[in-house]
Amino acid sequence: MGNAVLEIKNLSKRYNSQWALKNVNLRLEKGRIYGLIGKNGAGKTTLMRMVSGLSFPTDGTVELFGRSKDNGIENINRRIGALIEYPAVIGNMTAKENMHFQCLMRGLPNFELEDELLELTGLKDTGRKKVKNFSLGMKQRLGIAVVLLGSPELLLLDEPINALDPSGVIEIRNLLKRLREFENKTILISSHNLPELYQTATDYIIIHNGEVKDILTHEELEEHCKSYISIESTDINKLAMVLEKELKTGNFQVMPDKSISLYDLPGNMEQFGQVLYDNGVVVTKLAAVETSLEEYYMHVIGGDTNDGFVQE
Amino acid sequence: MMGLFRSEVYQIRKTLAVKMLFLFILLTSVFLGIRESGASYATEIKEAGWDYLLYGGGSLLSSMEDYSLVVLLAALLAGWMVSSAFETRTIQEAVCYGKSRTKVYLVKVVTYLITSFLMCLVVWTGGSIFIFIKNGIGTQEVVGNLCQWNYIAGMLFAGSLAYLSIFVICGVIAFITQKTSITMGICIIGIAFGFNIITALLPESLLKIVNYTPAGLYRQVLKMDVSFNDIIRTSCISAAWIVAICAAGLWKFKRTELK
Repeated sequence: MGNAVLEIKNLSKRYNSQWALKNVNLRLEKGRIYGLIGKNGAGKTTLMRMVSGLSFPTDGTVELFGRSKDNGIENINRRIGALIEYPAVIGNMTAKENMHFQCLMRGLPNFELEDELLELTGLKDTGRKKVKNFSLGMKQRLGIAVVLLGSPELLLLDEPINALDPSGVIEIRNLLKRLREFENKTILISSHNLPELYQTATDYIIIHNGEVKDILTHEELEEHCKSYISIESTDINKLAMVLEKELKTGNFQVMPDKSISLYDLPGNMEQFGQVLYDNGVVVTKLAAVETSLEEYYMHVIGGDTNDGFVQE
Repeated sequence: MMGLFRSEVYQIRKTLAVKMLFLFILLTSVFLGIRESGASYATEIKEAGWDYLLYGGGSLLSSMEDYSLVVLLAALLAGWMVSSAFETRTIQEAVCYGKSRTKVYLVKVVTYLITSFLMCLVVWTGGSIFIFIKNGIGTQEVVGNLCQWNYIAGMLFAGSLAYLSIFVICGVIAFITQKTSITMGICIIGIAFGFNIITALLPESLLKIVNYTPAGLYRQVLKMDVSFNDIIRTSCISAAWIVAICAAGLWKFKRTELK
């Protein structure tokens, strides 16, 4: 079991004849930030809703802190905080009143925590302003403050940085990192902002059409996203043969567009070009490329390049 | 569970709409009460032959018979207190935090029923209090089978339970629709008018059955010649309906996917 905070086994969810999730297996370790990446409708929110108890799985199990949710979630779920889709805030109350309401609902005795969390999320000076008059970003911050009540060990954040201004995004990023480093919290965060997720998460879970396609650490992602050389040629088979036999490298990939991505960067480009020329390889295009998280994601799901992701 | 109750009470205190509604019905019922205790109104009543309305007990009966107002209050509160909780996601937050759906449901329904009942009590008594003070409770000849205090107590108790059986339907509708506007629409149109349409269309033989449903229970006790048996029977049937409808709503809520 180790440090598993959340363990999901063969989790599936079906709505009529449509599978929203299919045989998802996940294990979240304590003290890490997991970025959940997927396009709209991939199953990210569905997954979070089932973990938090809002939705019921068709099949599979969810274990939180080593205990199955079938055995009753009441005490287990108090150790998690969830912000799913929209923040749970009441429009005709102020930020402080919303926090007080949530404290009462949770049975928390420490009302000083309200002010601390409002300060942490930059809402301390909202005074008597009603939440219905807040901007979407302010409501999102209040939602995050609410989620942090009760000091949960696992945070489920469904696109928490939507509608936040750049400074707000940085604040939340720093907050999440602080929560992980100093309080050893585990965070599962979904976002369309891949560059931001790249800076925040320690691990990445790629989900597509209800299936988990890949799970990798930040270090593994950096390994995959390393630079490569893209080569186009009139005879791709000949090029591949030359790379294998003459340059003694198998670390390349033939892409769908009939180009070759070479991951072993040659130390001497002049010599490299000479070898290709001497073996009769006609190069039509040669470019040095760095893979971004988005490109890696596209590579994993095998999709097109227009999938609603934020590119900065 | 106490935490849920405390948060509900706190939210009601902070909800301007509920406070405004309470103030409105209090002022309206007091105004009407003052008007009904006036001499010109008394003359009008005597000429119509409705002498029992001159007394506190009769005035209370008259107030409690206003079914449409009760349903309107129930619908408004079901929307504001129950459905809106889904729209603000406070119910989802409670479930995410690990509060059992049973507790969340029961606390919400009980708070709603108590608030609705208190509002109705203000309507019923607010207007009658002036007639109580001016003309007294009534005479033995005014009501049929019970002494005045028993008549009033029985009417209030059984009548309240009968109306609560309607309130709980509104509450369950609110849990099912999870939308304030749809809840109010269904409750006002479906219950206020629907019940009347059903009773108008049904043959005489089936109307007797309606009298044992929430649509007709209140009529069993809100009448001049109510007996002790009527009060007991209506109270028990109303309580059974409240429990059954609550249980059905809970069964549905426990299986509902929350957005």
